[in-house]
Amino acid sequence: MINIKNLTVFIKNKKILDDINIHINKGETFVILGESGAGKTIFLKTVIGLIKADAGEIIICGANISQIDENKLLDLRQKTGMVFQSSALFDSLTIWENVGFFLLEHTNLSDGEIREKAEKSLNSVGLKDILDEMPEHLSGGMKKRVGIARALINHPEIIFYDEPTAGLDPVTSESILSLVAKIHKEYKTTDVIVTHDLGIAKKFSDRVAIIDDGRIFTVGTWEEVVKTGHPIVSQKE
Amino acid sequence: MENIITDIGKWVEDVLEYAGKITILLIHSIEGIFTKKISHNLLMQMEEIGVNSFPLVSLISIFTGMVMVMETVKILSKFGGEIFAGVIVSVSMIRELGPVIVALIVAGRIGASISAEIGSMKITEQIDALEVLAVDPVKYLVSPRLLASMVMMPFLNLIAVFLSIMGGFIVAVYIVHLSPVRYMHQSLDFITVKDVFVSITKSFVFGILIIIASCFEGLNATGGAEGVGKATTRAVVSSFFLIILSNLILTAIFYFIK
Repeated sequence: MINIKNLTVFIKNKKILDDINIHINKGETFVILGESGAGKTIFLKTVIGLIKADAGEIIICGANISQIDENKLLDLRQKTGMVFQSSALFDSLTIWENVGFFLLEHTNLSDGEIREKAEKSLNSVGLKDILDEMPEHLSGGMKKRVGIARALINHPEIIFYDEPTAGLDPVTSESILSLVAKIHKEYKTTDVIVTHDLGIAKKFSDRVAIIDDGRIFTVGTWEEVVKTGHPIVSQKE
Repeated sequence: MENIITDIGKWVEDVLEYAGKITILLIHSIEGIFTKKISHNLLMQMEEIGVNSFPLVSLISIFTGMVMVMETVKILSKFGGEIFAGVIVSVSMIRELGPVIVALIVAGRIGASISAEIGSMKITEQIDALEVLAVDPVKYLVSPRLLASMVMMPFLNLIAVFLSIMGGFIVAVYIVHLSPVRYMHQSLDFITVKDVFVSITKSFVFGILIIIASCFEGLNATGGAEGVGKATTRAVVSSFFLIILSNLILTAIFYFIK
């Protein structure tokens, strides 16, 4: 499903990702675990094509994202969803416009039809009656849910989550994680979760990769990763 | 000595890099003007750049016209030429001051707001979200603003020129007691088609420069709120500089064109 080979990224002449090789299988929940500054977010942004890799290749659903043309990229974007750490909702748009943004921009569906789809998507993340609200009126947890609803609107095959619980209180974090698990089950998605939260790796992952100083230290099941004794898992276990 | 040369070399390199980057942004956003999905944002931007700038532009233009008549009448009266105050207002406004004043007002008002808006979108990952949703941020954010500015700036400029003449008219007729008919006649008689063309061209170019410089700074904002603040300052400063520099270049070009 996702195949990353020899991925290397430099930012301002500093090597941020160093020769990363990962294969993520269809239907898997794959967690990238690392401390702040380890290169997790850069990794995720490179995989989804927001940052250009200096070397290596990233193949998602059979398409090499560094060589893809505009039409194929659009197809690929339809197959993937991204939930940002900051939710990244568009301030100037209402909630239904945020959720239905992809459809508003890339389809000829009427506003009514898109609104209906946005409502369904919002319902699936447990939100109701907020279609015409503006993002500034929502709490952090609700924004995160709207971000997930936006990622879900195309029924993607892969969802990328960047620190899904960052900045949320423990109760809200727990509810967001339950939602992630529910979506994974219902939509049968392949999930790639970047986090520093051991709880996510422990509870939800099929496999975990520890990223440290831009390199993949180890990849395996949670139990296998714990056995390596890497400080990030042994410290907090 | 070696350090000075190195510094100058670095400065030249930075200037060329900046010029190259804003040129690429300009070309990219012009491409975006010809895409079908520009219309929904366009009217909103035209309102923001044109309609919402109108009150400030009007007020400043009227005051400028009034001040110019007050100042020039004093000198012209020494030669018995008070009636030419209208000519000075109209000609200087249409050729130079009108486009520059309007551009500086729009750069301060709109340029700052654009760079702050796009800058905060950048630091809150909204620009990244656009890309993930397969929307080109330049075509979505810059192109409608660029087209709106291209359309609205010449209109604002012509309104500013007209209102400054009318501001001068108030002073000329009610304070200096000149003949209203002669003031208007003198004001309009010296304006040529070329002057109008120069004025429109300048405001059109200034509109492009303001939008591109402001969007460029917004799109390149880094860090948090402080980064957005710095980007906004850079946007206004670079817009002002580009307006003055391009005015000099355009004036020189039109000076040699008969």
